[in-house]
This record gives sequence, C-alpha cells and structure tokens, in this order.
Amino acid sequence: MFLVKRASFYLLTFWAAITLNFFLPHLMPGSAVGAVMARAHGEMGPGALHALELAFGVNVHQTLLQQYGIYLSHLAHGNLGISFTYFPEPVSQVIASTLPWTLFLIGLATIISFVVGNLLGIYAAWRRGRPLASVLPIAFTVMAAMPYFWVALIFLYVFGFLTGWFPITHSIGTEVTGIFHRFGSIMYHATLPALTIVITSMGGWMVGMRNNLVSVLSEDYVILAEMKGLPEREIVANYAARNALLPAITGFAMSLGFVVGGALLTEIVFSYPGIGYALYQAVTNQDYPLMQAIFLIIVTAVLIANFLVDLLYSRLDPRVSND
Amino acid sequence: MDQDTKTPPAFAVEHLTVRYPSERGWVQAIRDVSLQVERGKLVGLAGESGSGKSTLVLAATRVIRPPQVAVDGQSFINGRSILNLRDAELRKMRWSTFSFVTQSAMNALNPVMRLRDQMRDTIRAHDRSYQPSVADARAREVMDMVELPSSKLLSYPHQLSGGQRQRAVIALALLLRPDLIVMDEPTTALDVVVQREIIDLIRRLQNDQGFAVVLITHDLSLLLEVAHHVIVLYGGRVMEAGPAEQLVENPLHPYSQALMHSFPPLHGAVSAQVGIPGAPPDMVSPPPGCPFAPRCDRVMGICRTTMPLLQTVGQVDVACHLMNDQNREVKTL
Amino acid sequence: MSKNRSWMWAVPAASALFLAAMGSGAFAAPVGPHVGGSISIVASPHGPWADVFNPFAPGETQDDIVGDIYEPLVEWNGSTGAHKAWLAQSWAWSNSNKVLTLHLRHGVKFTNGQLFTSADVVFTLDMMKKYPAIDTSALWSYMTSVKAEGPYTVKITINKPDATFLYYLTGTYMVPASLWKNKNPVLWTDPNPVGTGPYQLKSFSPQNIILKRNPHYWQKGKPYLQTVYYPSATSNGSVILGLADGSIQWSSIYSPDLRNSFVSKDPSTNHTDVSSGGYDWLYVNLHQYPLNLLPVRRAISDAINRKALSVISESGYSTPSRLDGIDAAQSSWSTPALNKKAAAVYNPKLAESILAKAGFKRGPNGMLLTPKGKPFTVNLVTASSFTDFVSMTSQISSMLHAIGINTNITVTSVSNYSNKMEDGSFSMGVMWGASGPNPFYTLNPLMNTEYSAALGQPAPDNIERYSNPRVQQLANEYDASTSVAVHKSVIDQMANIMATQLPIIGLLNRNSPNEYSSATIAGWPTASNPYWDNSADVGPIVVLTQLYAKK
Ligand SMILES: Nc1ncnc2c1ncn2[C@@H]1O[C@H](COP(=O)(O)OP(=O)(O)O)[C@@H](O)[C@H]1O
Ligand SMILES: [Mg+2]
Repeated sequence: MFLVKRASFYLLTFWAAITLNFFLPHLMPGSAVGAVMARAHGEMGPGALHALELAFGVNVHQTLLQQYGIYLSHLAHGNLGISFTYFPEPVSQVIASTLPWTLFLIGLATIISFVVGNLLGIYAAWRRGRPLASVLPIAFTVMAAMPYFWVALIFLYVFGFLTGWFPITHSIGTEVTGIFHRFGSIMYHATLPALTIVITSMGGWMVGMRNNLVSVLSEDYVILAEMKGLPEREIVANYAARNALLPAITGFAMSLGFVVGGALLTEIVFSYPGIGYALYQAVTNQDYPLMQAIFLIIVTAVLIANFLVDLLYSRLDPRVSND
Repeated sequence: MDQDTKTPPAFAVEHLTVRYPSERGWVQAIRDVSLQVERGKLVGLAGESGSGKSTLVLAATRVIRPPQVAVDGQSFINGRSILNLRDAELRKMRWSTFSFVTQSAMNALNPVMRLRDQMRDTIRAHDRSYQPSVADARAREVMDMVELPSSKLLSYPHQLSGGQRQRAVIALALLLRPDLIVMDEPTTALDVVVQREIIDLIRRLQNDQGFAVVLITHDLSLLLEVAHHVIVLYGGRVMEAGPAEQLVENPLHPYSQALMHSFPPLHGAVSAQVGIPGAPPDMVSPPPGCPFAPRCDRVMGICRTTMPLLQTVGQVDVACHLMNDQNREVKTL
Repeated sequence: MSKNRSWMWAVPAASALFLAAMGSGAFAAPVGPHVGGSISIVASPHGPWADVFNPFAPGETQDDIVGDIYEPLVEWNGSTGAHKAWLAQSWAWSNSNKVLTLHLRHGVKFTNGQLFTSADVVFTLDMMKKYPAIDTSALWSYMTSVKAEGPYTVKITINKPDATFLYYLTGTYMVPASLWKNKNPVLWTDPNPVGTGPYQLKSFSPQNIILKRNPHYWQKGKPYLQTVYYPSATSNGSVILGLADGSIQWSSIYSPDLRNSFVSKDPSTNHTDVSSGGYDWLYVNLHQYPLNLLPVRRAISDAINRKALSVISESGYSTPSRLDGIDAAQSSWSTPALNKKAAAVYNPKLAESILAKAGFKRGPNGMLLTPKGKPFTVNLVTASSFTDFVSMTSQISSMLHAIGINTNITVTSVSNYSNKMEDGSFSMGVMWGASGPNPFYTLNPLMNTEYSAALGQPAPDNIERYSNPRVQQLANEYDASTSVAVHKSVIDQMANIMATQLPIIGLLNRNSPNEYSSATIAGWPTASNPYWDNSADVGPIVVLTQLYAKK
C-alpha cells in the first residue's frame, strides 16, 4: 500500500514535470534560429534565416496542443528529437556522450564528499574539544564559502599548469588504448576536478553531521549504549551516527538526483565533457529538444533518487514505513 | 554483621562531591554524600527534581565524568573503586555487574534497531563466546521475566506502548544478571495503572532474583511501599536516611515530612496533594547553612549559617538542627 | 598516452628542447617543408564535439574542422576578400552575366579514391535545390539550372545578373555524389566524411577530433603536417594555459590580455595578429521619431567616442571605424574624397549645436525635448552574453546622456535580442553587419530594401529598414557588370550614401585576435608575408597547407 501510494504520487509528479517541461521553453522569448544567427555574427549568407527555419522545423503551423501531443508521443517512443546546437546530431547521442562522464565525475565526487564529509563530521562531534575536531569544521566551512569557480581555477593553475602534476583539460588522454591505460587515464583526469568538488562541498555535510550528532549524543539511547558497555565503535556507528545520518539522507538523495544536471563550472574550468555544459549550450541557444531532454533526465533522476530514498529511509528508519 | 566484612556492599559512595562547570560558576550538584546499598536490598533515593539524584548515580558510575563534571570522593561497586578503574575494566563491569533503567524509557531504546539486536549487541560486548542463538534464548528469558511476549523482540521501539517499552528496558537491564540495577524514575512518564504494574514487577523481580536496586524517584510515598531503605536527598546533600517503615511512620526531617505530604500514597485514598512551598536553592551559590532552611517552616537562626551534621537517631540518620537535644522540645510541641 | 605525458613533462621537455637548441640546433641548417609533425588547434572554445561532419550543418561549431576535409570551389580570404582558385581553376560569365562557366581542376580525388568531377558539383547544387534547408546562401533564389559539360566543366544559369552570386556559390563545400545520393543532407550527420581536402578524419571523440594527412591530396607534396589535433575546450582560460604551455599551437580566441598571458611567455615564438571581419554598427530604427531625422543621427554619431569604445570594450583589438562601411583591410575601394567625408568625428559640442539647430530644446530637467515638445528618450537593446556589446551599449548610453538624450538599456538573451533587432522592434542597438570580399557585400544588404522586411517580420540585414531607390539602382548596376571599374563606382556611391545619410552609424572595425606559436611549426603568414588571413576559424586550409614542422 505504501509503495502503491508512493508510486502513483511519483507518476503524477512525473506527468506534471514533462508537461511543464514542454510548455516552459515555449514561453521563453527568442528562437533557436535567432541564436544561431547571432552566434555566427553576420558570417552567414543572406538565405540562412530561411534555411535554418526549414532545417529546425520551426515556424511549422501547428497549435501548441498539437505540438504537445506530438511531444508526448515522441517521448513515449523514446524519440528525443534533434539538437539545434549540435544539429543534426540526435539529442540522445549528445546525452549518450556527455551523461556518462557526468555520472562518473559528479556522482563519484558527490559520494566521496558525502562519505568523507560525514566521517569527518562524526569525528568532529565525537572528539569535540580536541584541536583537530574544532579546526576541521571551520576550515571546511571556509572552503565551502569560497566561490567554487575561484577554487577550481587556483587548483587548475597550481596543480595543473604550474606543477604539471595533473592534466588541465578533458576526461581522458588522447589516443589512449587498452582497458588498463584508459582506466588509469580517466582516474588521473578526474582527480583534480573531483577534488575541487569534494573539498568545496564537503563542509556542508560535515557541519550538518557534526551538529546532528552532537544533539544525538545527548539522547538517552546513546548514553544507555555506553552504560551497556558497548565498544566505542559500535556506539558511534549503530547508535549515534546512524540516527544522526537520517536527516542528511534526503539531502544526499537530492544531490544525487541533481548529479545528472552536471556541474557547469567544473566542466568549464576543466574542459570536462559533461552534461552541464550541454545544458548551458541548450539554454543559450534555445535548443528546446536538448533542453527538454536534459530537464527530463534531471526530473527523472530526482524522482528516482527520491523514490530510492523513500525505500532506503524505510529501511534505515523503521518509524517511516509502519504508520 | 561479620558477613559485611567479607562481602562488600553492592554499592557504596564515600564523600562524593560533584560539580558541573557552568557559565555562572560551579554547579554544586552533590556535596559530600556518603551512602551504602547492601546486596540484595532495594534502596530508594528520594528528593525533588534537581536535588541531585541522577547526578549522584551517574557520577558514581562514571557515566558522567571529567571534563563534563568535577568529581571528588570515592565510589565502590561490589567493593571495586569505580573512579580509579581502567576504562577497559570498567567497560567489562558495565551491565554485567550493574545496569540501568534510565529516566525516560521512551528514549532509552535506539529507535532504528530491533529490540533483539539491542539485546544481542549487549551480550556480544561482554561475551567472547557469543552466539546469536544463545543470546536470543537469554533475550526470550528476560522478556518472559517482564511478562512481554518474546515476539516483541522483533519489534522496533516505536511499535511498543509506553508500558511495554518500560518493561523492555527492564528486561534489558536484567539481561546480564547484574548485582545492581539503578532505576532512575522508571515510572514517571507512565499513567497510574501502569506505574502500579511496573512497581509490582520490580518488586517481584527483585524478590526472586535478589539483585540490589537503587530506585530513584521524587515520589517518596512510592518508595515507602517497596524500599527496604530510603535516602532523602536535597540540595546535593543527604537530609535523612533510614529503614523505609521508619520514614513512613515517623519522618524526622522537615523536608522528608514535606515530601511525604506532597504525594498521595500509591495504595490508599487520594488526599489533597500539596506541593512544598518555595523553590529548591540555586546550586551555584547554595545557602551556607541547611539547604532547606529558606523553605523550612521551623527554621532557626543556626539553620541559616551552619550545615547540620548527619546524626543517628534510633535507626535513622538525620541532618537537622532540630535533632540536637536543646531543640528537641520545639519539635515535640 | 603520449598526450597524457606531455602534460606532465611539458616543463622539463620544453627546457630540454631549449638546451638542445642552444647547443647545436640553433646553428643547424633550417629544416624546410617536409611531411611529418603535428599541430593542435583550438579555434574557439565551444565544448565537447559532436560526431557531425556534415558540411551543410548549420551553426559554427564544427565548421573549422569540416573545412579541412571538404573544399569549396574557390577560397576567399576572410579579411581582405582576396580569392584563390581552388577546386575550380577558372570561371567566366557570359550571356549578359547570366551564365557562369566553371572550369574544374583535373585529377582531384576524394579520399575514397574517386575522381572529383562536374557530376559532383551538379549533384551538390541540385541537392541544395531539393533541400532548401541546406541552401543557407539562398543560391536557388538566383539559379535556374546547373549542368555539366564534360567531366570538368559546369554551366550555371541565373535568373538575373548578380555579382555576389559567385562569392556565395564558390564558397559552398563539394561532396561526392556517390556517397550522398541516398542521404537526406539535412539530417545526415556524416560521421565518416569523405572529401577532397588536405586532411581526413582519423578518429573522433567528443574531446578530440584527430585528422590525418590525405596522402593523395591534389596539391602535390602537401599538406606537410601529418596530424592535426582539434582538442575541445570549454573556456578561453584553458586555451590560454594550453597555448602558454605549448600544447596548443594555434587558436583564434578573444582574450583581453594576450601580451601578458601568452606572448610574454616566449616572445620569440608566441605571436598574435588580428583578422578583420566587418563592422560593429549602431542600428537605428528609421521608423521611429525622431531617429528618422538625419540631424539626430548625425548628432548621435558625433557624440560617440569610438576610441573609448575600442579601448574599453574591445581591449583595442577592434578599432574606430569610418561611417561608410569600408573597413581598414578594404581601403583600396575608397577615394580621397570619400576618406574625408566618411571620417567619424567625436565632437559632443557639435552634436549639441546640430540638435539645437534642428529644434531640440533643453527641458526643465536639462534633458532634451524633441521639436514636438516630448522628452527625447531612446531605448538601447543588447544581449547579456555579448559582454563587449553590453559594455559598448552602456558607454554609448552615457555619451548620449552627456548631450542631453535620455536612454534606457534592455539587456536580454542572445536570441531575444537578435529577434527584436530582426523584427524591427527596437529603437537602437549595437550589432554586427554583413561582410564579404568587398564593401558592396556590406553596404548593399544594409541599405537595399531587398534585405528589409515589414516591421514585425524578420529582416535579414536591413533591419533599420532604410529605403532608397538609388541603392536598388546601384545594386542592379553592380550585378549587371563584371567590371572592377563599375564595381568601384557603385561602391563609392553607396559609401557616399551611407556616410551622408547615416541610415546606421558605424562604430568599430571588428577585429579578432589570432594566436599561434612558431616554436615547433613554421610557414605562418607574417607581417612581411601576409599571404592569407591567419584565423583558425572556418576551414583554415590555405594556411594549414603551408605549415610544416620545424624538425
Ligand atoms: N549538565 C549539567 N550542567 C550543569 N548543571 C547540571 C547539569 N545536569 C544537572 N545539573 C544541575 O545539577 C543539579 C542536580 O541535577 P539532577 O542530578 O539532574 O537532579 P535530579 O536527578 O534529582 O532531578 C541541578 O541543579 C541541575 O540543574
Ligand atoms: Mg534526575
């Protein structure tokens, strides 16, 4: 029953999202053709305007409702259309070549950030009073407060350009062959961008965990666990952290969901081929098909992440499912 | 009485002083308290909220410890000096020698673990040859003792009623057959009928199994029905201590008397409930004399300047200037 | 892996090279053009590549690469408008300039081994007729037919004389009929392109497109460089780092401080120059009062400090322009008389007196009132992502304010801005204009009603909606003739109209910087040998076929 209720809620949300997704771009002023003309800065021939309209299939005389119907039927057939920005590349192809990198880099960084941030948060709360435990939250709060763009540029300049320790562009080296070498190259290229994401986003998790844990530590069941003579490790893990983690799970799910939106600034600074830049291109070029597809993916991912969290939450917190 | 010299008391505290640091200065929660709990006895610790009951047992068992508090004096369980014990030794003693039923059973259980697992981990922490099946068998036993169906072992705390939860916490306390169970207001959050049941349960278990109990409550009348011995605490000091029936029949300290009257007896007619007028003292700067002096209706000049010493009157120890010979008549008036 | 390493060892490797050069190499005989070596080019940052090599695909994302693979009939120099015979060796007009006969080069082969012939030219052009969506130069609005006469001759008939037709026709890329005949050229991505160009696709990845030398290229022995890398980039910042550490050798990115960030790293090898590419204009809506009054436009022009626009908004790359649409690289089309007439002045006092003479008075708040007594307010529109235009717009706004004209600025999205401009729903805005091999390609579209449209309909070029029958006559004269003298005279008269009528107001000659490194590669156009425009954009094959590795 719980599942059925949740599932129908998600289906409804999904429908609302794809409908909004269709209508919103059509309310935006301007057109894709205008954007292409503008980017060419007058370098296109006199017939370009007309030709582009033909190619993009805009100015077709259909009512918005008809277009909505076509959009839904295309969606149902998995047809996401053709990107205007990368014309005539199908949108599915654009996504296939960018999304995996995003999932890998941003997903990995988000998970590392969450895990490390929470572990440090646990340390800072459990050992509060010790110098390191007091310094860590401050240090990472400061990190989180610094503009990401700036941090990323500094890392790129120092660890990429000046020292030459890490590559300054791309997600993999040129003409790298062999599974082993490719894997090595991919990890090597991901190090710097992932590091910048982790260190700038970790502070939030850490401070959140620390604060949650400090209040959980004074709960009777944690004190009782100590009275029971449990090993410290078990008290922290099973009694304190497990309860302190619950509020962070929802936030984590949301950030996992938004992973598919990419990290535009990371991708720009490190020339990393993710979906964030594709979305940015889509928006600046009024590339509706691409925009709609990416928003669709984001919505789907967020909904799936939420659904998984619902499931996970009912496992982690038995109070949720049995009401 | 030579038995006493061979077998040490289940719990003993000597000249214990406990202070909490606070922004306004030291909170002197316990001041030079000594007491003993003989094996197999049920000793009540009574006093209004804030009088230091919890602090006393928690500090004496090192649940609260520096730097949270400053502790002076000595504390012994089964004759072993708790305050000087190594951490690992103490951890071993916990629960197997002395266990707790904490103040609010509502929050004493981990909300995200099944009852069974909260029992299993306790056994595992103390038993090298831990086996889940053996542990579960013991868990079923203690559930039986508190009259809960063992199917409840698979429940999460939120699936139990208040009374069931309290029983579960007691079952947990029995798990490792301790010599001493400290119960801090085990019935406060419960309705009267359930309170009754729990108190009966405790008394029965204590009778059957012979562990010692320190039962903390601010309800003196309750104690008088179940306890062998009662200690009345106020302002971080012992006001009066003695056999339960003595305190029922004839409470000597004006504070004990006031406390007696402020609660209806558990078995008996509900008479008008009278709180004690006034408020407990500020423990950062407690009055120099008797802490009860500001609220006492028979206060004397000396009460405000000098703390009366505990003196033995019959079977009872009392700390009150009224007990001095020259003041006796005043009392009998 | 090799690329990978080069990041790590860039610094030591560079110094080792330097030492070697000092030791013996410096005095060794220079190595001449030979086959071998490689180059990395980033024309501009536009993110990961798409697997699209269709030369008819709209947009500019991949056209720099496509231009190395596919070739046009004639190469046109983007800066000067000079041409170079390419797949077509020669051409001639006949039948009162309505028939164009093209003579194709012999022995040109596609990279699949097939011969390039007139059939391919006819096929390519016919395909544009069949699919108007790829006819971005609207060739078929002039053409009536295209026919092959033997394998190396093509005859094209147009419906009326048009001298600009040649330029747009011969810039079109030629594709092999055999491979395209069953394709829809609008939707075909062409992932394995086969062209006649100096390079062919070696491998594609969204991060790097790698081209290899076409060994059977029709220019015998060329190209010299074995491999061309096109790494993708998402920001100017990373391109500059790549230029500075030597991993990129050629780019055409815009960066305000190239001297510091690039040239100064090694002035002996790191160079910049500029390509000139048309004008930035201040468009004025001629349907709006009082902008339709000539004195008002004249005053606005005189109130604008073009030097400040150049230095503050364009880091000095783009330079103050004349008023007549003849840019610096095309000055041979001008005359001394025109030079004088078309010079822009900066004289706010003069501007104020022109307005006063035209009946504009100061209102109570010190700002101008039109002769009709209404406050004189103009709205400027610009696009937020064109930061240079935004900066120019706000400068112009304060310059106009200084002579008493109230201004409002609307900053919007690129596409909204360009739609507003095209539809004529603007009063003033800074924008580019058309350009081509000579000033006619600039002036005619800007002033000819053929390139205009009703208000509310998109106009391709004449967005201020200037209407002057004389311009039409001149355009017809130009189109009817192939004589340079006639063309010169038409341009002179059109430029005169532009400079005196000011339908729109010239601001800057748009120049864009190019960056290149001669550390490992030689053969670049230089100040002393400016054989071609040095832009890495848009199929840079004339330069690319000259470049060779230094060792
Ligand atoms: N963590 C603490 N910090 C400071 N003062 C405390 C703290 N805990 C208890 N106290 C004070 O110590 C005194 C005794 O408290 P407590 O032992 O909880 O009393 P009881 O259990 O009898 O209600 C009270 O005055 C209380 O305010
Ligand atoms: Mg208490």
